[in-house]
Amino acid sequence: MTGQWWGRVVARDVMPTKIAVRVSPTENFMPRGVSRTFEVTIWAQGRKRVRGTLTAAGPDGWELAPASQRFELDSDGLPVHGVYTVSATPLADADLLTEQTLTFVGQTDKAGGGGVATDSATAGVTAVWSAGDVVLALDAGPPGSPVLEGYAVLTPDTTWDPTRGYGWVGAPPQARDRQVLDPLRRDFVFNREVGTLRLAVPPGVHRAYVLTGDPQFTSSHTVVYLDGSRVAETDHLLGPGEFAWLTFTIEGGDAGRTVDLVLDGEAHEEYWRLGALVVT
Amino acid sequence: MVFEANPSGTKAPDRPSWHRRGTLERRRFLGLAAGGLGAALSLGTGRPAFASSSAGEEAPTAHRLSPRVPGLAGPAPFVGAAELPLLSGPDLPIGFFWPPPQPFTTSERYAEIAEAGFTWVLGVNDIVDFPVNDTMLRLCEEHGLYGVPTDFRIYGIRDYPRDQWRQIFIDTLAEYRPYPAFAGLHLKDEPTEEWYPSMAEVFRLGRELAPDVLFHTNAAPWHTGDALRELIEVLSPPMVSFDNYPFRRTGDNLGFLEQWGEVRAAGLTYDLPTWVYVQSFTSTNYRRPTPEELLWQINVSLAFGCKGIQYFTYWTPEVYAEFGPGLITLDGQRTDLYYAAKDINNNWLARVGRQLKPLRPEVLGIANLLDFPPPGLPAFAPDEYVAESWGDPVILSQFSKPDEPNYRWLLVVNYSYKEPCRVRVNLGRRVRGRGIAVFDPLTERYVEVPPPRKRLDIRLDTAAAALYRLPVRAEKERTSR
Repeated sequence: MTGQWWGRVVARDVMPTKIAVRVSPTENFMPRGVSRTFEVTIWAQGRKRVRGTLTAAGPDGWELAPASQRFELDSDGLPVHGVYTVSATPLADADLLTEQTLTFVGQTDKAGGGGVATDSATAGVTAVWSAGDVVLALDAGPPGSPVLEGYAVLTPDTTWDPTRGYGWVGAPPQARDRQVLDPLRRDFVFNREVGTLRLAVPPGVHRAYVLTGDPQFTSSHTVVYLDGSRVAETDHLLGPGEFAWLTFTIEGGDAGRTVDLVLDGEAHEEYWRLGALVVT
Repeated sequence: MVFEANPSGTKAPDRPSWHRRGTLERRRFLGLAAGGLGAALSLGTGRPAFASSSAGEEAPTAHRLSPRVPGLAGPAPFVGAAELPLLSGPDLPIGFFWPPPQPFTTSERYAEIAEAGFTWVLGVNDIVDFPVNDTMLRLCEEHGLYGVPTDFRIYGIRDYPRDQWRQIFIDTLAEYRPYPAFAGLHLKDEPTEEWYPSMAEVFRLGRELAPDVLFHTNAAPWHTGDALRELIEVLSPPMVSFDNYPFRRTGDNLGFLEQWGEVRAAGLTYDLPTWVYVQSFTSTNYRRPTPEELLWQINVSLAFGCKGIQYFTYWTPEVYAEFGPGLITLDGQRTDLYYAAKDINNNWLARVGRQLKPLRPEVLGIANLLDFPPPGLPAFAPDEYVAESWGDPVILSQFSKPDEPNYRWLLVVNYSYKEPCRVRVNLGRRVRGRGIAVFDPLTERYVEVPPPRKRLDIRLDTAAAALYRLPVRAEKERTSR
């Protein structure tokens, strides 16, 4: 007994099983060595119980666990869902500052009319330095907002303290928490007046990275001055949700020294923004 | 835009598409006599003699009450939706916000409105008060439209001493009653609480002194929950109209569905018809909808039980710099959305609207959505009429008609405004196997669906919908077996 169903012949009244895979969060900045849990929701609709396998895959340098797990959902003809978790960890050799993709694939064992039903979802991930691997790792934002694992807090209240080795001198900046995206990008300090962030730099040559951008609004140009020189700047206005790492070199000399990073804003609304600072 | 309801899964070549239909002759539908004002009326030159138009003829529409008695004194019985203009009658009212401004208030422009399938004109922008309301109402009459003007004596009645309100109301209404096209007065769009006392009194005076006149107000997106209940209970409007536009530049706004859910529930609770504004504009915060998205708003609204569709906007507002084109540009050019609206209104909405208007909303749900249902739109649950569905996500909305208990109606709406859908619906045990029919907008008749019985295999184009009439067993008949 067969019938025409959407252009192909299937057994009459056999409900084709279908599934949909969703993942949350869909993007993340994660320090090397730190695990984060991704929630994978599988929706299914089929005549009876829907069984299948959820697999997770990522680029080299990323560990996902479990890489494969079974799912089983009692549909009984109506859409139902189950939530499954996958732990993702960027390892020590994970590429830094490069957005990469985690892929989650759900596939049923079988579907009505033969074959299988499958769907997938992806999450964009970016590995950043582990705080233990660098000289300084600061996550900026208002007091009390989330901080990336291992990173030190930089708020407008963080005034220069030689013991701590970093802090503001002069007028403190403002801060915002947009409450979207990961701890590193959701919040930042900013100001229209120049801001001076003093750092205690150990001996040697160091590379500095400044994260700038705004999850919600267009960002003005952020410009960094070091020792009176313009050392880094954004090359275009960053749109809402667009971020950039500004990078430059800091000379610590033979004995180390204190340096002042002067932050200034240009163009648009002339606000500078600082979401994070890493010195390697 | 292929509309197909063919259980074999093969495309029926002669099945009409809602957008291929020719323009309907509005005068025929409204039963209006030929003639009218003819050439455009000039504005600001005083009130043309009303007797020179065809307005002297007896009001022709079946649902217009007559005779009207200006300044009727004494208590009047409550007149419900069954007797008010636009709310009554067979046609689903199709209106809009922002009519052509004064320089474009011409016979040609009102013909353009009528050709696009609109049934009434709301007076806002610079189309307020006499003498322009005279012109507006005469042009409405000429082109078979109803008019709901704004008159600042009523709109701003709160600025007068309270003891004058009754006489102002009587005097103002008396000036409008002679116009055959006059259907009612626009009070206040999106009123805040400080407007409620005067508006409530106008609504009350309307029920007492002008029970055949529709007074129009519209709830704002913030009229949800207690605010919506307060608006209804304090004002006692004859219908619940609201706006909450879905297509924002920052992403689609599910608040449209969420508020529809509340308005639908309120309409059922207070036994009021529900109207909606659909988005036909662009602005700083709202992107321009596609023709499919326009159709989606309309069909989703019909699924929620909507009894009146209004477009926001028709003309392009010039007072707000951030607004982009509506159906007609600032300088009077027709946009793609004008043609889309004309097509939808004439060839689908007006026709299916006549079927749906007398029906009572019953059960609503979204089927086959592999995600959490959006707020306001519950997940489909099987019942005695619809047992099962699979395929692509669709909204299934059931309707009943008290005087036809042997039928149930099922509106199936493609939930997607981006792609066509295919869906199977297996009907429930109370549905009879014979006589299941689908509404054909071309002929405005129901066409019996061929076997297999009690199963609907439906293909819908993007945002499209299909209306089925299901013969059902009466409760007694079913239980006696």
